[in-house]
Amino acid sequence: MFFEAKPVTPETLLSETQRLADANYRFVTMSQTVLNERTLRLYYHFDENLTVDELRAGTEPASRPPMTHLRLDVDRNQPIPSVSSVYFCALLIENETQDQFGVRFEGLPLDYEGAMYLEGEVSRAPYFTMTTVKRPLAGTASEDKGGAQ
Amino acid sequence: MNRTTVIPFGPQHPVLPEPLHIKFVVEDETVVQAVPQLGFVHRGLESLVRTKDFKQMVFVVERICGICSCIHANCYCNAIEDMLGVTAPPRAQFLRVIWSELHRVHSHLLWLGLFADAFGFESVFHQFWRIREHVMDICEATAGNRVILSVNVVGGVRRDLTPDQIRWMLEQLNELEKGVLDMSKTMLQDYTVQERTRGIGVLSKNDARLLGAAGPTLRGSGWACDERMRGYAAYKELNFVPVVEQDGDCYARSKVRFYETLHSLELIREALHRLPESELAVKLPGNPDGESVFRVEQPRGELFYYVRANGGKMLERMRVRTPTFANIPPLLHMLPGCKLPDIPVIVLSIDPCISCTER
Amino acid sequence: MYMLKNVLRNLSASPATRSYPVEDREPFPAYRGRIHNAVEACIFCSSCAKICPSGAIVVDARGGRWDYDPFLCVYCSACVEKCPTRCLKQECTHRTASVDKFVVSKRGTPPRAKKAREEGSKGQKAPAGQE
Repeated sequence: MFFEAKPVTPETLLSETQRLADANYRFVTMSQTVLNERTLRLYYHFDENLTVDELRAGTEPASRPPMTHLRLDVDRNQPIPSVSSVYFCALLIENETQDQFGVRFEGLPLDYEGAMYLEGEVSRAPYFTMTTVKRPLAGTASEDKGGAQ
Repeated sequence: MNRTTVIPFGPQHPVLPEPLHIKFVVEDETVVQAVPQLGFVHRGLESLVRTKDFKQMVFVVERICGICSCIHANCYCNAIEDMLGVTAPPRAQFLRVIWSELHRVHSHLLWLGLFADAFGFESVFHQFWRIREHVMDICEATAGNRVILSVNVVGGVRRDLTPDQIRWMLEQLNELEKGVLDMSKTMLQDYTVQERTRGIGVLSKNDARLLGAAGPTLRGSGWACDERMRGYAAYKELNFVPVVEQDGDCYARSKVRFYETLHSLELIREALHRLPESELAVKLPGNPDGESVFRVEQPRGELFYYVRANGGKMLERMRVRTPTFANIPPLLHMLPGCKLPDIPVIVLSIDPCISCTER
Repeated sequence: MYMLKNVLRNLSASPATRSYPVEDREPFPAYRGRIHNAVEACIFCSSCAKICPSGAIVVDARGGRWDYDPFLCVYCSACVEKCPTRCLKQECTHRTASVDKFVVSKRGTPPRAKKAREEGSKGQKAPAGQE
């Protein structure tokens, strides 16, 4: 489904998230896209939960409101406020974002400092950058065992 | 005396089929703190979208998870179809449900076996895996592979079921159901099983929401949250009811999965009987453009895809939130306070799929 | 306790597994196994190479060469479905284990050269560089 996202700023992010948390929303995840050299776009996806009582009351699930989304454009060099004080589960995805895009989140309760996936001694993040290694032709690929793909 | 010890759990551990490392700080026998370390099987599949075109990506997303590959492809295809503005034909929708549910059944049977193994019930483990072989046979005979089915394409499916196959499948499903029902007393009423699973790893209802749990972990804590209720693919036409338990402990989660297995068999039968006639795939109008999100229900919980395209053959960005990724924070919440021998049971009760998590 | 009946039954019954190398199960006809190219019918259109998600097929259209790396192949059968002349076939048996890696390489005559040769045999001499 196409989705509508509500734009937020780093200042209003936390209050918006708190509002959704109070309204019984569940934090689904966060998506990141690189807009340009400087800007990273973050989407925060939320979903409403349904309880058994509501189900018994005959709430038609298909008519439930779809997900709620927040959109945040951030400067990659500026620290981003972390929502993990509201939703603790955000810390994993925020750490992953740190790993992959080299940004920094402020106020993480458990901060891997860009090394959640990497070993401690490898400190060069981010690694969400692409270099394409051309695979040698099939005729020669048989020579270098387990060649690059 | 207050002395803490650090015990590493994994990456290689008898109960873990996949590498996950958790550092446990224990005080005597009680866990005080758990810190996970991921990244043993990170493959960078998300960034492959920029080198493979969007039709080839179907085969890549199937390889994100080794257990629920068909459901990954289903979700991805649905997200792209939304962007292109096409819908798969009705027969394809039903076939997608059939194969997805077959995957759910074999994943749950695998998990029930592994879970029994985690609390040391080896014969149950082998029995479940023996039953599971029926599903694997069905997958192989109908789709051509045991696990990575590769039946979904953007716009529909690639394989069809003949009436003979449907008859044979129904026979196999009956066998399978008999086998599962045979195990119901052991899994649900056995004294040893209950002693090892009841009241362990409790996740309260509010915590489950705040920690963003998904799937059976969430449903075991009393939330009726199942993406299939939203009626993607053909679920809206089938008689689907989510399985919900209130206790939130390991026993409740295993109960959810056990009943879901039986319910999935029901769904497959219903879908096989009501399989409509139509073509299998629609023609695609050009390349996708725009942004789209889609969610489906995996055996482990809710799977989320975010796809961004720019009208070219390659997509610009794809992001996958797999259910285990969402279930790790609840796991970290459940572990402190438990006894050391309960760790494997609790870790397995979320059904960790690490290669999903790290992609 | 509930498992006891099951355990006793399994104890007296024959094993659920087969003694594999001796006894082999009949393969399912729909299984996606080895890929074969009947190269005489191949027109070297490269559509299999273009659709292959893992890049296991390399086609040299001019030289009439079809290379296929079975160790890169993911057996999705996308190429078999795409093949316009149906010269790619998939067997229902899987490739057995191998000690070392190899590439299946097939040589044929690309249609342009075929056409030229037919014209050549009609006329004076066959074009050089074939066979």
